[in-house]
Parts: sequence; C-alpha cells; structure tokens
Amino acid sequence: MLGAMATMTPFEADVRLAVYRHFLDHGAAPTPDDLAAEFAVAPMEIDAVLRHLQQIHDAVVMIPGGRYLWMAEPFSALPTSYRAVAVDGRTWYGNCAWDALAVLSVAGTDGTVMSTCPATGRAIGVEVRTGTVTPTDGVAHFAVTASEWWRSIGFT
Amino acid sequence: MPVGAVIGVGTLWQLARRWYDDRLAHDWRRKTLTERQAILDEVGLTGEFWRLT
Repeated sequence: MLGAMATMTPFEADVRLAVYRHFLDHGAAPTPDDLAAEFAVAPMEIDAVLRHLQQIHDAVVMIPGGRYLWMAEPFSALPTSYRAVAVDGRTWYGNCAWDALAVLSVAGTDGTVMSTCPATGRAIGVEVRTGTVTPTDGVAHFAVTASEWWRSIGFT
Repeated sequence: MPVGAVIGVGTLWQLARRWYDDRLAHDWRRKTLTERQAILDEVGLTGEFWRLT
C-alpha cells in the first residue's frame, strides 16, 4: 500500500476510468493497444501508466509478469466461476461472488450472478432486482479472515 | 481450505454496493483502511474475523 494515497495525474485518472468504461461497454478488459488508440499515444506510454496505476495507486491488477490487465476490481479480465449477466444481456466476470454482485452495482443494472457450487457442481443464481437480492436465504463463504484478503489477491 | 465465515447474500450485496460505490468517479482513490473498516462495520460484519488489520 506504500504511496496508495498519492494523487493521480489527470492522464492516469483518464486511463483508469477508460479501463472501467471498456469493461462496461465490451465485457472485457482493454488491451494497452486499445487504450493507446483511444488516447492517441504510444502503447508504451499506456504500459507505464498501467504499471503506475497498479504499483502506486493500487487501482488495477496486472497479470503477473505481463502487460495485460487481470483485474480492475470488481471486474476480472479472465473468466471465473462468477458471472454477472445484466438484464440486457451484457456479461462480465467478477473475481468472486462479492465482486460479481458489485459488477451489477457498478454497471447500475439489474441482473443475475451465476456460479456453481464448488462441492456439488449445482448451478447457483442470485438475482438483483431494483436494489434487492433473491433468494434471500442464499449465503456466501469467506475462506480467510479480512486481514488476509490482499495477501494473495487471487484467493479470498 | 480454512473454515472461514458464511454471510447472507443480502449482506454481501450491501457490502458490494458500498465497497465499490466510487469506482466510476474520475477522482477515485483507494479507500483508506479506516473507511474500509467502517463499511464492514456498517453492514454488520464486526468481530475479529472482519478486522482488516
């Protein structure tokens, strides 16, 4: 978290927001080339901004060792077991059940979070309609304590 | 896998909404530890398991 409170430059803030807009509009992460084209800059410039957004501002997570986005929380660039489907058919992946619900909130839409019971393989669905969720007796499991959530970002 | 904790989806939904309510703001910044802990408290996730530090 060192430096997490540093202020972003206006360009960093623009790129961060463009990442979210891309997820919302396309259901997938933008590549550095997508962002470079959008802002009419060299891809290397975007690479540097994305690194900065991860390392200084804790705003995105890159695929380890690579130049591609893994997460702009709550969105996942990689397919996961937690799919959020909006009522208009748009589809995104969340990093966990919490994030998949949050995707619908960030998108400002009703929809369904679809997953699979890891023990039985049974399909699970949680519906969001006008700010309420059903089934109301559904539950979510947190594997580790809150203090451990960011020790390994891929396992909470 | 550790035993962990189980919460209702209603609570999870409230947590999701609050935790990510500013992601589309141009001036977004990572919430501070105090702010994040306050959200957990507000949705009723209190106790040792839900302490961020």
